[in-house]
Amino acid sequence: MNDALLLQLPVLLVVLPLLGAALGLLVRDDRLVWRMVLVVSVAAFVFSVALFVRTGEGLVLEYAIGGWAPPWGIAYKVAQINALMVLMLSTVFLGGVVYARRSFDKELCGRRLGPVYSALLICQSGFFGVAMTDDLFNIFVFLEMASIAGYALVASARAPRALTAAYRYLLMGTTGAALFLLGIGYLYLVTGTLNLSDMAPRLQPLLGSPAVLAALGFIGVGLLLKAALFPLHLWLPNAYAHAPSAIAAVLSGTSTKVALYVLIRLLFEVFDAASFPAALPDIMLVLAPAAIVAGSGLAFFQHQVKRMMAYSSVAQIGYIALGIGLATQAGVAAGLIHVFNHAIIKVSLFMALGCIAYRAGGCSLSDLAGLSKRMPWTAAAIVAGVVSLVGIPLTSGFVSKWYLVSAVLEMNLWLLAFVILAGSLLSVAYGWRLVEAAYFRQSEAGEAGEAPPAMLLTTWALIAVNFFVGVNPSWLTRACLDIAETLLR
Amino acid sequence: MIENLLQGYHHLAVVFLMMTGIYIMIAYDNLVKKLIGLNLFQVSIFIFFILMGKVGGGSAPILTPEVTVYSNPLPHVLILTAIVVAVASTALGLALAIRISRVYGSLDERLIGDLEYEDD
Repeated sequence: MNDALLLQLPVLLVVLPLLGAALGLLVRDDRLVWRMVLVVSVAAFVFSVALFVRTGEGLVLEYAIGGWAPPWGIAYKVAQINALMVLMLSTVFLGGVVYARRSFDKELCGRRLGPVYSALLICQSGFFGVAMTDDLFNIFVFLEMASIAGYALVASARAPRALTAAYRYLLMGTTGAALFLLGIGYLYLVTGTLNLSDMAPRLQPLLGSPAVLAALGFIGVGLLLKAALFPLHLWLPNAYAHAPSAIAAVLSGTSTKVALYVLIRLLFEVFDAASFPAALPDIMLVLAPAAIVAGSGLAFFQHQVKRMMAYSSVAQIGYIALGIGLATQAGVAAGLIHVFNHAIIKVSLFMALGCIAYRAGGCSLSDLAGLSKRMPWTAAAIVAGVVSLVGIPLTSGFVSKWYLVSAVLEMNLWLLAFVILAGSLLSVAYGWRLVEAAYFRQSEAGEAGEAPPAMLLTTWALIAVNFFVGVNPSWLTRACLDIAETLLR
Repeated sequence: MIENLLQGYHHLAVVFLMMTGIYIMIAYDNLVKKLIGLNLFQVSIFIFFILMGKVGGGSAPILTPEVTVYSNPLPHVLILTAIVVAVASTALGLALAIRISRVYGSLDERLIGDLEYEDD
């Protein structure tokens, strides 16, 4: 791709979905809106692949919004870490959009879909913005843009429970964002700049001063609330369990991951947590094992399978936080690898659950009974997702666990390695409940038949990505190791 | 000590507003009151930003030959954006509260929780 066009891609990735969102409100024909959203998502995916390939060669793209030079104006900067996030987000959103058409027809029937698709595009634009902007306040605005669209998307489900879940999500998410904003205020107060690249050197002599520590505290709590790290996860289970299936799938792969990405960038690029001892990574190192054990344990006791997967997400976020908390190159790389892998795994699992909900109307363990007879491909998809969560070799889950365990052992933290393995065993326990229901429990209820091909194929496409990473992980692991090296330099 | 506190009295006001907002969000069961608490919490942070833009003896940031010291306009501009964000989230929160009250016939979090529990 030629370089002049490449330079425009970062801003196009944000602007195209926004324009699409405005169109989505104007056009009355739901089919037409969906086609437009699909075109935007495909374009975003193609752009993100181009960015990922080119930044992998060491290219760093900078785009000054409105032509204002960076320390004063808002700049977008796309290096490898940004491109990796954009690639992950655009993959999840493309899958979600293809999947959403039939799923929405069933779950949101009788509702105008234009606004729902618009909210989906606003959410996409906001997350792309967070991933690429180099301006701290801009991160806040994009994060809130995406989050507010996310609350509305959760509330779009027909079940009344979705309303209370979205309300709680809004209350906690906005509190987190407000704390994040307060932290930004402290950073601006001491450095006089909002540009991340400009802020890092100015903050260097001030690290350890009370104002900077306060900033780190507020930013840490705010972002961890958005990332749903145990015990700040209370909004997550209900929001994912009651949102429309396609929305639960998309949000499970994006919203918490983006908050963790911002935390990684701020911790290591700005606060220099690798060489300067800050308390936050140590706190995460304490909370992460608690998240792994509590999340997996609570998942075991759920009857509603979407809720079970939501609690499993709480546990998986614990793995990512564990990697970040180590504050070593291997740890951060393992965290980033798991950000990508968990997004792919959990989205495919939520999609498979959506296929079951499409046919059975619900998604409790009893709806899974006899699934292997009625919907063999969906049942197999669930097995594929579960073995990836457990971390069986040849799945992407194994790749992340391998790097995480070796990062932990590098620091001689045997207890943490034990917790990771215990977490895997716990995920075998709750995963087995799904497999047992699908393959060994008989049920006469319901007639045979898979979900529509578009839904099933998207689910399997993501599972294919999952196994592709599992068999051939070097492109991802090398990118993540490079990113971690740049971050911790 | 006391002199220091009095000098930062406007920051004490910020902290007071912030704590009031958090208290309302936690202590009250009414969904609309919780949103009011959230708003107070956000507004306290906005005031914090606006205060930091003030430069002692500085005038409004309009270029005139007589004036050399200006207040910093950037935090004010940031807060204009943050207010828009806060309005959007409040509007969505109120819309959700309206629909919740239509479905459950109540705005009381505890009552709604009981109704949902009976459903299970």
